[in-house]
Amino acid sequence: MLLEIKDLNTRYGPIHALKGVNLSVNEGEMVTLIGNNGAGKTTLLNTLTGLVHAASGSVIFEGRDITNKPAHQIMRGGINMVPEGRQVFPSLTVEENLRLGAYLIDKPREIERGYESVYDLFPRLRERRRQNAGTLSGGEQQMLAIGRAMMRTPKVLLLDEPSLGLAPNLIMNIFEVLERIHRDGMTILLIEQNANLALDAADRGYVLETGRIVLEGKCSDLKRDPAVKKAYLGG
Amino acid sequence: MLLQYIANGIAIGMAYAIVALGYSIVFGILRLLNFSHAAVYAFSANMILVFMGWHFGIWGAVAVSIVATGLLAVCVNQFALKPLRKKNSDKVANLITTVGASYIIQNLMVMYLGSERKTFPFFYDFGVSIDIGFYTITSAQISMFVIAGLLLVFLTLIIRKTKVGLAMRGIEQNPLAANLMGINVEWIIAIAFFMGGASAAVGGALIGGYYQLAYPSMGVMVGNKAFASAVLGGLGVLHGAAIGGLIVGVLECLIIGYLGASYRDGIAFVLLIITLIIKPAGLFGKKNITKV
Ligand SMILES: Nc1ncnc2c1ncn2[C@@H]1O[C@H](COP(=O)(O)OP(=O)(O)O)[C@@H](O)[C@H]1O
Ligand SMILES: [Mg+2]
Repeated sequence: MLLEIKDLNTRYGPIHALKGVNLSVNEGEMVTLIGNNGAGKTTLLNTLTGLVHAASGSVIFEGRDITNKPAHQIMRGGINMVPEGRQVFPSLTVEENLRLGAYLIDKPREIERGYESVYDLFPRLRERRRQNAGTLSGGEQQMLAIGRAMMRTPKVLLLDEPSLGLAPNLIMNIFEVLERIHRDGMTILLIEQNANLALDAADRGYVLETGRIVLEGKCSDLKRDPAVKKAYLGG
Repeated sequence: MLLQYIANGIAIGMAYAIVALGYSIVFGILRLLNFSHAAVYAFSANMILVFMGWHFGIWGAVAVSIVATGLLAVCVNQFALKPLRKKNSDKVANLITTVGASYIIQNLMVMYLGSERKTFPFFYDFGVSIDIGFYTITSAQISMFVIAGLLLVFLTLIIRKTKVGLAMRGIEQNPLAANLMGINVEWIIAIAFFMGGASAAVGGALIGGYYQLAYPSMGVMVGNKAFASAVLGGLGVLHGAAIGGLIVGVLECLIIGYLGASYRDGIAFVLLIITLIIKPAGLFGKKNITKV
């Protein structure tokens, strides 16, 4: 098992946002976590990356306990995250954003290869590489956020609602790229409110409701589950 | 005479500029007006005298003081400001803390070194002066200009061309995202404080030498002038701080020349107030300081 979350609890003062979450991701898998707004999805990613303090429980990555380690150390270990709301560096160019994605890499040749593979995934970024990230459209910024996280090929890629606020054709584009990255061997934990898309793309899924995992299983099974259909797939 | 005053102003203005850089660098990365910077500046010149007393020689004393002053700035950050950031304290608390740190540093200097004015060596004066028509440029003015100019270029290159500089610019725009890139944000902030402190130290050595004086409260006036320079040029913009420093320096020398020395210290305040009223973001800045 590459990533394992055991009985994780997170609190924001009186708000108990995660109530004993268990979740695991195997190497090479694409796992999705679906849930409504406010279910605690972002909290889960932020806790596992060290941005938010875990009250109890543990996060195990490659057999090592990384619970509550500083975020930059966790990233160093091989986890990359595409955060909610993209969080690009608006006044830096596309290329400088990507360069920061390769911050932990020192070899120029490896960085060059990173640019090439990202521009290969998102040709639009190549056209815009001298442009400030703040001038990109929402979809392009999402591409940049994903590209930035791929500059240093991570061991696991975490994505927080990459479809949020994007037009349907752009969402399709982003998901095609995610499936392509996954086919090439990347381990992915995808967090989504768009359950239809997420369950189609991923191998295994979890359903999070108000801080608790209420269902888990193969995506093909979840899609047929009457409760999931009713709550997340629009009938 | 006009050209003479301008030449004098450019020399002293470059020294203001490198002190102004410290305000600008820290503001850029933390959006914080670091009012401890003036005392940190004074620390450098006073420590040069201490180190000279320990027989370091003037150049050795300057070198050690640059490092010590950089470390003092890092300490202000680590012990006073970082704990506040950890608790997510608001900006005003941070600002007041920097004022407090400034008093502590200045008072410790008074306690241990005495408050009196001490002579400071004019160590970069090689006794040469060049006469061009009616005015004179001294070798000291040229050294001052060259040393400060090289430092400005050096720091600008660090921020524009190195990985640490890119990390600084990243943190300035989005600390959370910078953290997710694997950047140790606190480490980079510490480097920024060191750069600010060390460049203030060079300023302290140059200005101490220029007036041949050092004393614990020497940072008050120069700190205000450097702060006005940084705001005038646009906080967070390094070339802005440089040009702001030159403007303050030149105007000051023109006022000394035409109105008399008693008005010299007022010009920085006047410029500061005019900037805040007319163009709060400064000449080259995008960020509005009044929104901080
Ligand atoms: N910084 C915060 N402070 C206080 N409460 C928060 C904070 N962030 C999230 N919450 C609360 O925690 C719960 C889960 O939020 P979040 O993880 O953002 O959900 P999701 O990403 O699934 O929409 C919500 O009730 C939200 O209001
Ligand atoms: Mg969320």
